Amino acid sequence: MVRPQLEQFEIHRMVPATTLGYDVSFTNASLFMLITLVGVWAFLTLGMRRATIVPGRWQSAVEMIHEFVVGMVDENIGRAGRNYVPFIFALFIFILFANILGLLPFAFAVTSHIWVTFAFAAFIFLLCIGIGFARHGLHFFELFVPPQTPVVLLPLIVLIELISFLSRPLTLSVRLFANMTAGHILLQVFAGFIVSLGLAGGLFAALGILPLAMNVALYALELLVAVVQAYVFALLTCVYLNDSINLSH
Amino acid sequence: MPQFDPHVAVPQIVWLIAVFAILYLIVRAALPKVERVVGSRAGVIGADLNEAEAAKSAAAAVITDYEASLATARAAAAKLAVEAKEATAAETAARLKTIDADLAAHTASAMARVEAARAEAHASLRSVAEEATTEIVERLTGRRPDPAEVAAAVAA
Repeated sequence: MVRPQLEQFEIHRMVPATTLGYDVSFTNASLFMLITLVGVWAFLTLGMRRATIVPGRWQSAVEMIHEFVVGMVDENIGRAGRNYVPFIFALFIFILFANILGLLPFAFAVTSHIWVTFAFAAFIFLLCIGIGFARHGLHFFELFVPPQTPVVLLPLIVLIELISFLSRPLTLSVRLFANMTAGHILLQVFAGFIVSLGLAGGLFAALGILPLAMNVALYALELLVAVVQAYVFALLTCVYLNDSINLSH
Repeated sequence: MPQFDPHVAVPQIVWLIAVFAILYLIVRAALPKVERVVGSRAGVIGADLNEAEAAKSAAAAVITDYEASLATARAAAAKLAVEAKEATAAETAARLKTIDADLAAHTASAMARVEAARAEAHASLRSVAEEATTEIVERLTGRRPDPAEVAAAVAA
């Protein structure tokens, strides 16, 4: 039995399925991943359907996000990062759409699940290690040795750098998961207050306006959080990729 | 929390990999078109700017030409004015000279006439003095003096 505030995060197996001994059931999470996919596809395809020199509103939106991602990649990685623009773009727009779609009533927030965010973070972590070794070979370990470190401090510094590097997938995944989960729980809690006060009747019912106003404000905040967290996730991915590509500190 | 249920990990991750792989391919396919449009827009804007720059420099050339021709016209006008002034001045000077010469001639003739009149007056004065002397002497002495003597006395 789960608390009512956490009910929204529950996974329901809509079409149970098993392949090669793995559970690949089509769940409500899968459904909203597909909805996100279709949303992104529609946004990109319809936005660029009549690609004109003087852009329309949708085309402007697509170009703006593209320019934003390219700017972020250029700023954090440099010219060498241009190959990763599609990946960062896909990452940013998927998380952005999933976050915002999750805020719709009755929707499921794909990014409020630690397995999803951790899968992203782990993939990015492995990608960084792979790119680092592919580009720099064993010199990649220099990432853990900042230049001009006194020899006495070397063991400590290397340990700290190693821990900060290894904790990246955890912090990256928990940040998004915790932000989305906390926001959705808050909305649910205040919505519960509205219902409770309404059922109490009389003067209490009139007081129900307070949690309602709170929820309206929270919803605005959650919209901001949805965009900011997508941005932070993409930005940190750029920063981590930069470490692997340019071996910088 | 339902999120920490290990049984929901595999279906989510499997679907996520599938969906994100497709999404990545969609984005990869869509981005070149965006870049092309942005690039062509930059090209059009750049060409327009170049055109404007060319038109601007052409206008500047026309202005320079105009200013140059204006300057030559002004110089020619100034030269003409100077020439006219000089010609007038020369003409005036020449006329002044002739007038001066005329005046000098007139003055000279007048002076000559004055001189002649004076000489004449002088001469007539002598004859009057001689006559008067003769009369005076005649009255005093009762005889008429010799005109030569009188003339000598008057001249003295």
